[in-house]
Amino acid sequence: MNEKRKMTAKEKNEARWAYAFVAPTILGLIILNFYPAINTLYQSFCKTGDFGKGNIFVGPANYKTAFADPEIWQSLINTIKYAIIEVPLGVVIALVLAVFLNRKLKGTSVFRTIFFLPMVCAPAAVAMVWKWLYNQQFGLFNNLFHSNIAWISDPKIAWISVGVIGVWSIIGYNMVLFISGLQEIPGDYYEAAEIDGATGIRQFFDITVPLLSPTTFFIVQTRVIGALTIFDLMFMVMDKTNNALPKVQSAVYVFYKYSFDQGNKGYGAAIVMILVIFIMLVTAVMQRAEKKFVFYN
Amino acid sequence: MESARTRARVTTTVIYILLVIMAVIMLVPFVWMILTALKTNQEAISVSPFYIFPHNGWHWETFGEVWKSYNFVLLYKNTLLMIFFRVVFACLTATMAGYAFGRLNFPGKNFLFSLVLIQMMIPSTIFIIPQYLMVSKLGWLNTCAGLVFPGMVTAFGTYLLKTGYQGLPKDLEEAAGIDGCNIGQRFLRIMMPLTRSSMVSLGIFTALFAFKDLMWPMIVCSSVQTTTLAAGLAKAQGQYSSNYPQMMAAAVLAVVPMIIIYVIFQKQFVEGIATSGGKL
Amino acid sequence: MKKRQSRPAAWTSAEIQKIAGIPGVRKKTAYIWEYYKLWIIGIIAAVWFVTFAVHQYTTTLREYWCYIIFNNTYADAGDHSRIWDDFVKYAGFDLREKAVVFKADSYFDYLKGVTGNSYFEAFVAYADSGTLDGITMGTESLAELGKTGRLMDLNREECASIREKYGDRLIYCIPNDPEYGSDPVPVGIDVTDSRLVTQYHVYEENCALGIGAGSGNLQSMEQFLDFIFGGQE
Repeated sequence: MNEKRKMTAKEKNEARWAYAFVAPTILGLIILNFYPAINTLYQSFCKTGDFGKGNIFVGPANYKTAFADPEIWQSLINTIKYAIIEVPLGVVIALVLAVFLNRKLKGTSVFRTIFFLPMVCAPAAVAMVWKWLYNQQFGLFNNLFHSNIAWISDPKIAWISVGVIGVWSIIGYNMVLFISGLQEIPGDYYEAAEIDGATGIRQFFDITVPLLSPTTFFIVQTRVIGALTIFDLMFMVMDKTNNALPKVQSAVYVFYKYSFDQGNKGYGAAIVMILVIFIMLVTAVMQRAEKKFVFYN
Repeated sequence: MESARTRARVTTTVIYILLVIMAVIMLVPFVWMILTALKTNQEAISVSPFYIFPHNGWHWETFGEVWKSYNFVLLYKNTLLMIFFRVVFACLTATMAGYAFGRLNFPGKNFLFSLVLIQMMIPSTIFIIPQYLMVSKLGWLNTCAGLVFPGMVTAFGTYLLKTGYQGLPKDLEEAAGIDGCNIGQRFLRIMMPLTRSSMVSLGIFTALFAFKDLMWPMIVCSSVQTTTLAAGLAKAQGQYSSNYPQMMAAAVLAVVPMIIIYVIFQKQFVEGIATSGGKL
Repeated sequence: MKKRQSRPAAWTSAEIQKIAGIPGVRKKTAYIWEYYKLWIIGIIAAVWFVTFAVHQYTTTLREYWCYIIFNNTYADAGDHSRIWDDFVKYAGFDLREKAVVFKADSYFDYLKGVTGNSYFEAFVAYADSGTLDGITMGTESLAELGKTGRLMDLNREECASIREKYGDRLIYCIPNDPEYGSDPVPVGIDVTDSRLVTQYHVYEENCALGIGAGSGNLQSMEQFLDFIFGGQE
């Protein structure tokens, strides 16, 4: 890659257009996001803002503390466990729904709107409903199954219960993207398959799945990132006194706890940096996999 | 022939049943919002006995009270203005960058694209304070410009549009190149209209994220005159004076325009690219 | 090379001719709207936005005489309230030069937990960015908040004159951070018997005032303290 090759006039022209096109976005990202991010990186090497003292450079001390802290490792494991529930289930359910809704059926637009509703609902309403459903004494689930399970306060189960809420709230997001991806598949592929006598399930695996793979990859990639940076779900459903919290709290939740609640910004920044590096590794692996599994025509 | 038709009918029925089950599951919190709004506050927070339906009469008047006590018209206006500008800017910048990343070759492409990806990995809370300082230094506090500011470019949208452009067939552009279009014209007239459904989903999500964002309007708009629905409602309610029926009634009223926006946007999906040919 | 550059221009002029060739103004605008509406909307929006933003930049005050939050109160103590008017008059601030901000719509209590509370997030943004000069709330709540280090240590050199006048009213807390030391740090001033309560009724019970850790307007804060402790002019 290092050898320098002279660009042809055509390539130069193309590059010039490309730079003009990406310039607004890249400039915006640098000003709005990367400048703050670099600030945070610097902060992670500091002891910050105590009672008006300002930043004091302390080197990698925050990282040393973080690496030795089992709470941080546990929170990373919690985050991964959450992602393992949310991403596959959310993607599969949404894909099936999107394929159904992309058929020429009556009332699909009503269903599309209904599936979108959870995303616009007030978070307080969502939390209230789920807390009631999970309530040990009066909740619907325990009444329905005649069980007595502490859905969100038993450390062994709570992470699954929270994951289920995550799946439920992300289906609409995935579905909108799948529908838009399905719209971009030319209809004649299906017509040709129909003439060949391919069944619906065959068509799904032979046409829909490969042609939809760029969209699917996009959803999986953004959802993996989204799941690894999950935060608000934890505080909405779990009370501070909940003894399952240490087994459920995500890495961003822990960052928030230190950075915002306790004012230990340097330590919080170090946690964020560890998390970002971890997500970068995961993403790098996924980008490698993209070339293998994703079909571009 | 007869059996094929029966089979098709069975498939359709099964699909409908599955859709209805899903619809019920997805509808629960929304229905819950409405039911809570119709209860008295005591009923709303009582767990034992637990009331699904209001049993002391249905208090429809809560909606009227809420409508009167908040300045909804002003809040709608502020919110829609912010959503409009965010959608326009996000679509413009993201479609351009998405085209370059998805279709053109240039040195440093992978590096620049990794910047886009990295932005999505950083928890957005760490951007808030520096961005607040910028807006404050620009004198945009308490204005629409300040509300729109962090949403002017979007890493998510750039990635989404890049995927959209990558999915299009290769030969489309080559034909246009022979026609004598330069890259800009190719982008404008041929490629951009083809990614319409990606742009529609970007529009939906930009609007949605802007609508739901509570923290940013809370920080930059200290006056109720300029703030958005989410922040305006939260502010008027205070944190510990939870009157759940009123809260939910306000939330339902707040959500209605958002649903209308979604319905308008998603109509664009249905039309499909086959009929759009070149139009936006 | 020359040929390549002239061709796009030819394409543009062909497009212009095509539009000119459409009969009737109505159909012409319909055509332009169909094909270029996103660009028309986008350009108008961008131009309007830039004009507005530049106008704001040149006309708005970007600095503060002082920025005070009255936390957990439903009293009318925001900008242009009675207490605001009186204080501006008392301190003799020139409002054409810098602004005075009183915020009375903020509700969080550190004692009850603040995770996910957006009022608290806003407070953090104001405090950590150095905008916040003062904040008032219940005494215990303030002492608890002080542990985070977001309030000024009143033992600091800069606060000498405030300490001198109001040293008998200090409120102490022990910081979260053990490295700061285990001695109590003064982070607030008890203002329960001030005019804030007796005259303006911003609070009914005990309350205290803390100074933002990054505040650059200590003089204004001293003036504010003088103002609520009697100084009628």
